[in-house]
Amino acid sequence: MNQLHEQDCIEAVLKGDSRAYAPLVTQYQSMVYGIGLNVLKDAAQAEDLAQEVFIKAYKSLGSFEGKSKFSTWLYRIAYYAALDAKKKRDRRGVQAWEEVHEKKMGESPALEGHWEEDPKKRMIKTAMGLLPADQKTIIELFYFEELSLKEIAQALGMSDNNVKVKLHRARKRLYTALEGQKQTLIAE
Amino acid sequence: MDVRKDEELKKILANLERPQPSDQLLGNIMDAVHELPTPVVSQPLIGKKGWWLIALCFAAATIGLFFFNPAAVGLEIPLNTPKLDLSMPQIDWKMPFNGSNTLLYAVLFMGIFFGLQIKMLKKEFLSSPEQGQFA
Repeated sequence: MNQLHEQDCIEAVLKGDSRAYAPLVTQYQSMVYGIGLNVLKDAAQAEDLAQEVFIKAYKSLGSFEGKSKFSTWLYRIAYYAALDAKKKRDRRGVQAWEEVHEKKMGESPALEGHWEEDPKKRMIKTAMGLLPADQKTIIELFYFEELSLKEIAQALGMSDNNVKVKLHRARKRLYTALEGQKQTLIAE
Repeated sequence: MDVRKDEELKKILANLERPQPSDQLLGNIMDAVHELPTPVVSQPLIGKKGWWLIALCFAAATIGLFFFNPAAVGLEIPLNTPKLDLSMPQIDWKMPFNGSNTLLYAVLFMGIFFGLQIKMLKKEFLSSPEQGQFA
C-alpha cells in the first residue's frame, strides 16, 4: 500500500466511512503484533495489544497531521502501548509464559511449537530471540518494514544516533550468532 | 559492520517469516471500530496564520525599537506624566486574614489562568485524546 492510498483511507475514515480502516489494519497488523510480541513475549497478550493499538489509533486518527508516515505514527503508538502493558504486567508480578520457559530453556520464546519447521528458519529465529526487545524491534523495522533510521527514531522516541548504535550492535550480535552457520545458509 | 556482512544478513533475514496474528484480529478490530464514533479532526488552538501574525507583530515591534525613535513620530508614551496612574486599584477585600494586595491579586490572577487553562485543556484533550502524546 503506498502513502497516497493510505492517505485516501484516512480521509475516508475521517469522513465517516469506518470500513476504509480495514486496509490499514491488514497492512500493519503483523508489524504491530510483532512489536507486541517482542516486548511482551506472549502471543495472546500481543494480540490483545494489537487490537487495543488499532482502536486507539482509530480514535486518534483526527490528530494525525501527516507530518510523518502513518506507519511511523502507528508504530510509535504500538511501541509505547507495549511498554505500558509490560510495565503493568510486571507490576502485577505476572510473567509471560514464554519468559518463564525462556529462562528454563535458555532459548527464544518464538521457537516454541516450531521445532518441526525448517532448521534454517529455526536457527535465525533462535538468533533473533537472543536480541533484547528494543534491538529486535529495530532490526524488524529496518529490514522488514524498510524504515529509515530517522523514521525508526521517530517511531521509538529515540535519537537518530541511539538507533544507529543499537542497530549496529544488533546486527553485530545477530551476525555473530549466525556466523557459525553462514556458509550453509548462503549455499542454500 | 561492513557492507558485505550487511548484505549477507539481509539475505538471511529475508528467509524469516514474520509472526502472524490470528485470522480473527482484523474482524475483531473492525467490529470494535464500527461501534465507535467517527474520529474528529482536531484543530490547533492557534492556527498557522495566527502564528505568522504573532511572529510578524513581534518582529515588527523588535525592529521598530531599534530603528525608529518613538518621540520623532509622536508616539512617545508619557509614562512620567502625573495624569497617568498605573497603580492597581485599592480594594478592600474584607478577608479574614491579613494579606498584602499583591498576594491577593496574585491569587486572583492565578485562579483566572487556572480556570482558562482547564477549559482549554478540556477542549483540546476531549476532542483528541492522543494529541499530546502522539501527534
